[in-house]
Amino acid sequence: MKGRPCGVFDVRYSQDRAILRTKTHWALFILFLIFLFTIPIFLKGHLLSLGIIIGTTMIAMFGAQVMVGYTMQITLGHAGFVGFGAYVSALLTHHLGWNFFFALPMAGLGAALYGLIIGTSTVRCKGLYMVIPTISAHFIFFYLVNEVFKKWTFGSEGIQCATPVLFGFAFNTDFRYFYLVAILTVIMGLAAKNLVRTKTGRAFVAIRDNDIAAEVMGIDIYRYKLLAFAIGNFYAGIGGALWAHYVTYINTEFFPILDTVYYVAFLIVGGLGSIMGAVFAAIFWRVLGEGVNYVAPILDNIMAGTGGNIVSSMGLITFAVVTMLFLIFEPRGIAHRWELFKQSYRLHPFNY
Amino acid sequence: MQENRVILSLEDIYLSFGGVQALAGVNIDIKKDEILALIGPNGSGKTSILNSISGFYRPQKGNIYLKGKRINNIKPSKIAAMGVARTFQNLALYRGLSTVDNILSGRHIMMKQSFLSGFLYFGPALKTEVEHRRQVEYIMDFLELEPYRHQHVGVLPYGVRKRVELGRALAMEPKVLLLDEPMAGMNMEEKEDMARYVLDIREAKWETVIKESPAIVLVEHEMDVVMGIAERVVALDWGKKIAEGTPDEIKNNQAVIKAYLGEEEY
Repeated sequence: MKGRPCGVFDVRYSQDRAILRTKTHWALFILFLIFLFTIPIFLKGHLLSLGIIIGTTMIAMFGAQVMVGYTMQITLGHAGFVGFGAYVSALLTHHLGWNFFFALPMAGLGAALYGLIIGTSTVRCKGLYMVIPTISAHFIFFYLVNEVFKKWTFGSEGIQCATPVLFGFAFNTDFRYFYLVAILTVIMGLAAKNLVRTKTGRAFVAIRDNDIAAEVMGIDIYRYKLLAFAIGNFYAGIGGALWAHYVTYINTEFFPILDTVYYVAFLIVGGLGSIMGAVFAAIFWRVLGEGVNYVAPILDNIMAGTGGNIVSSMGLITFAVVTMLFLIFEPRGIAHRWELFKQSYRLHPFNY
Repeated sequence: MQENRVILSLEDIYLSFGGVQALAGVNIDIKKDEILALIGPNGSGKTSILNSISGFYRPQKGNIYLKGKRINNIKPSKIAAMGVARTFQNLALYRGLSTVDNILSGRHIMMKQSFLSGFLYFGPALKTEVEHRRQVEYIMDFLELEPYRHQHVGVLPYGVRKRVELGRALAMEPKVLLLDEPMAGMNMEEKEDMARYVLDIREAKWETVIKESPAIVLVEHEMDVVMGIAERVVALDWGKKIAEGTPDEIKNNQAVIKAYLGEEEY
């Protein structure tokens, strides 16, 4: 194994398929992990909380990436699926007294099951047309929580989510919760990456790029679209449950329809069709949101006559402008820049 | 003896779209060791036949038998799994994937791997990936695609993409290979290459990837190619079979000449 990728020749097919191919890659990966797990030491308070939110968003974003970026099933119900997972876990821990670590996978599976039920009708649509039936998934979730199961979910009053406890160790501080989220995000991210580089992922991309050819090549489109839907919503559910037990109190207000738009919009910003795109998307979204939260009150003070309108509208405007700018100048997203960087690194020290 | 050699047979196929009668009672037998060419003017139903075989179109009447099994109302993906592979007239590659991954996706039906093992990657998933990656390398070797191994197919030249598509079809280890205008839009050199590959598919001593050479159904407008490589030619016009025979017989068949050149004296 050499330090630089240029001039490395694979002698085994498993090397050919590997992600970490050189010593430098391994060193960088380990450095990244060390960096990740030392974040709570030098980030405190509000910023650490931002880190946790980024992690939970990222997990949900992986799911959105599998659905939108890999299978081109544009979903506008993602916040609903995130919320569904959050509620499954909240109900299980609140009413049945389940441990969070049993409720968490159930949240994922619950959201996946909900996704499967919605999916049986939506996967008959293709591309943009999927938007409408998936929006319905969002509203069905609202209806289920606020009307049908009001007795258990307490409707709009919201429900308490217990702090996760593992063998008597409570994840009750940001410092502790960050590690929980970080570990899960890394595991789920690697799992997603593994999925998309094996048979299933190729089938997803095949359906995205040419569903007719995919079918003739023996890929059962209906089955694989449903599978993508279920996997995407599994991720959404896990992300939602993790988030819910961090904020410890949820109601449906926390899963606005606008968030579903942001999931897709920031996927475009991050880059469709790559797991790194989802990573960039989640970071970009939450950091930008945080920046807006920081700047908006200051602007509001300067322009005092606007009566608080700046605070309420600046997020919307910023997100919209950023998405539009990316669509115009870099429609393939940040991940594309990352790819270009990697390509030039692969050839280094040569130009081409 | 004669019966056993037939791998795919179309019996009295009728296919119509509204008022348009695309196929009107077509009978074709495809033997398992031949290159059969389908020719005919535009709109004569060549591609409709291929689409009926691969399950896209559902003929209103008639039977299609693959190795004696009726495949009329089976899903296209199931038909593919039974050993029918095809290429498309207009390229239908997966643009987001590299050459390797495109051809690997052709091995989808052979890969016994659940998505759960895909999450883990190391273990059974990696084992099957590597095993099939090796087969793909043989195919890339055969089609001389090595220089393009890790390039996205979107950036490849047209002739190469056609070859990738052929590779993807070959990766399925087909019993019947349907080629829809493999030479369309190619220059002379690429055509010669492609003709050689088509012949090689039949004649190569496959030991690694394909156990048995597939029967090839070739739809082609390029008459030089058809007459050069096909062993049997079926000529179609207005959804009907107008002639069948060896290339030499077809060349001199009055009905075929009439279909192509019209009624006038010449």
